[in-house]
Amino acid sequence: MLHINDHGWIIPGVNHKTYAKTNSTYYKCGIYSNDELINYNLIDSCFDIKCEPGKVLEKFSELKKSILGSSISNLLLAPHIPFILPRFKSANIGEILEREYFPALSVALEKERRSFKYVLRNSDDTLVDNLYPTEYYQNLMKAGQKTAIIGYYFPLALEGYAPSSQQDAFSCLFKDIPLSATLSGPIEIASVLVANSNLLFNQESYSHILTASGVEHCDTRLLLSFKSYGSNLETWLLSKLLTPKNEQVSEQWSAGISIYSTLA
Amino acid sequence: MPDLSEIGPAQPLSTVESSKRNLQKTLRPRVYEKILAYNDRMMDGVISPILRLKINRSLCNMKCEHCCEEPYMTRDLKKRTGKEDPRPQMGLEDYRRLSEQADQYGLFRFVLTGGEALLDKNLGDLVKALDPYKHLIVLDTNGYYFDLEKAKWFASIGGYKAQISLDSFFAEEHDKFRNTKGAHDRALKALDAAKESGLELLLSTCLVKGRIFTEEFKLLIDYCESKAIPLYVSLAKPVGSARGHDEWVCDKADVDALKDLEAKHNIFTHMTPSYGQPGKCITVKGINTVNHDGEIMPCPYMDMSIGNIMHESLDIIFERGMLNKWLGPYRDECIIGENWDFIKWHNTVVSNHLENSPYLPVPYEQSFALTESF
Repeated sequence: MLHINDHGWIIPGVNHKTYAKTNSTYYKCGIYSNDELINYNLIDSCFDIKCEPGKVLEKFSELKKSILGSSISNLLLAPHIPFILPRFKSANIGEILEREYFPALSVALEKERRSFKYVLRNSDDTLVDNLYPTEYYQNLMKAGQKTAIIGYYFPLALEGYAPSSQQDAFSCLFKDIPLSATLSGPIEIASVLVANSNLLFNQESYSHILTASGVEHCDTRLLLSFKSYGSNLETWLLSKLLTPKNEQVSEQWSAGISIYSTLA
Repeated sequence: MPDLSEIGPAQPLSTVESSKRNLQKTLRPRVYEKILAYNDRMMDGVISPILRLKINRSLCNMKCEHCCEEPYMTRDLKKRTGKEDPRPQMGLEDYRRLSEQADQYGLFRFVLTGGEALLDKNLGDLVKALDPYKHLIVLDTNGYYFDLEKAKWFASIGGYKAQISLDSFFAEEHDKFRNTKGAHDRALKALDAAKESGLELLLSTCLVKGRIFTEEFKLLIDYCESKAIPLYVSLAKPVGSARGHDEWVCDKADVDALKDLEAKHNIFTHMTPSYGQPGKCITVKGINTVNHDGEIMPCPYMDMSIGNIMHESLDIIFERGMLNKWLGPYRDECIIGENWDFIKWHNTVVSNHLENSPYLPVPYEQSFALTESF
């Protein structure tokens, strides 16, 4: 049984590899809004979700109540950002990102005089057909093909965890929790960044690197991530390895958790 | 909304990087082979850092205000102890062995530095010992003695690149900073000489807090653009002669402004994305400095060791460094240039050590070994 501390960080189990025994105070989020209606309106203006805002807010309220009433309510002590995903037009994660979310992200950043840069292994490379959902993310993908999804993204829940420990800690924590949840993947991270394009830009401090640990790249050594660099928002496929025999355990890397509900 | 073709994936390698690689295919096939393997090896967790060799007891003709090397120099040691460093110094045979070991590990870059590396009378023999066809040999110089004849000579012995330092575009300011009259004029002439001799080159400059926003820095950028010279910027670190100059340390606003300039000009730092990797702190994985006595420092500006190449192999030292929590894991910020927790700890350890011993770096057992490792 894992516990969550007063900063909304999941306290690691004995077998989990983390940078430290407590959450970091060095890396800080930039500006974001946790107002459900503001985030809904921003996403709706990009994707035309075709839902009654009242119904969306009601669903958010129900979801928050469920989280508050569960053993993981401490997650709400950490940054938690509402996200809205329009019904997926494809089952292909890379295609959804490259056709819909990355262009929207580019526009959102331009409005803030920032730019979006995504770097793959080769210039002719693509994420289409190269990203696969992990077990829990598969559930989100299935739900998202039927209807729009609302949820909360907890970007710092698994800050400083090694990749395999992220997976293990998530499974342990949610084993008996009757909520739809997954290690966060690139779709809801991108959605949150479209509505909160300054999330990874803090003027005084460095921000986290958000790992999309809910999905696997076809090259299993790599992990898709979002980070800032100067005024740019970048995605990179980063190596999961620190040395050939040791996983990367970075204070700056943070795997998030997404807890969601369908709008049906 | 833009379509994918408008935003497309960014090139992991710049056009310049790609064309330089192709040139190595002809000139230095072994280097080319190692560069090609670089990215895949990084994905497997194998690092491929530059080895920066401090040679000739760091003898130097200048005495710069911000120098991080002064405490290693014979002139400083003589002032403090009355004699030169008594520790065994690396000789040509040691460098030859290091080159072989580095080649086997997949490394392909050596930087020769001092002090002023050109003052080393054995420089030609050293380049030969390092094998300039298995490694790219880069020379750090203040440019004072790097005239056309010297530049041609360095190119003829297999030298790859000259890194010429200039700390202000204003001659008076640079000369004062360097405590050397005519230093500015000679540095500019050295840049021309490097270009004429066919060497790769860059202008290296040290950024103190606020300088990035000055007219002088803008003039320096304009000069580099007009001459098509890449501008390499290092952040001032409060170490060496600059210990105590906390006001020189850049803050995030300086660093963010610098990163934004990279998009518009041929400017880069040691943390600029390169070789298909994102920008990050380069400790152990990017550059390691080899001291005269074989001690390996995980960053050019740290005065603490992670092992000695005269007693241990590179792979053991690298692994030790990578498993140290400060040094190995990914982090965006330059820890010795921006992270005050690290800077304070580093400077305290160094100060305490200097109370008991005049010699740097602080050995591993008294420095990084005291911090957490995985």
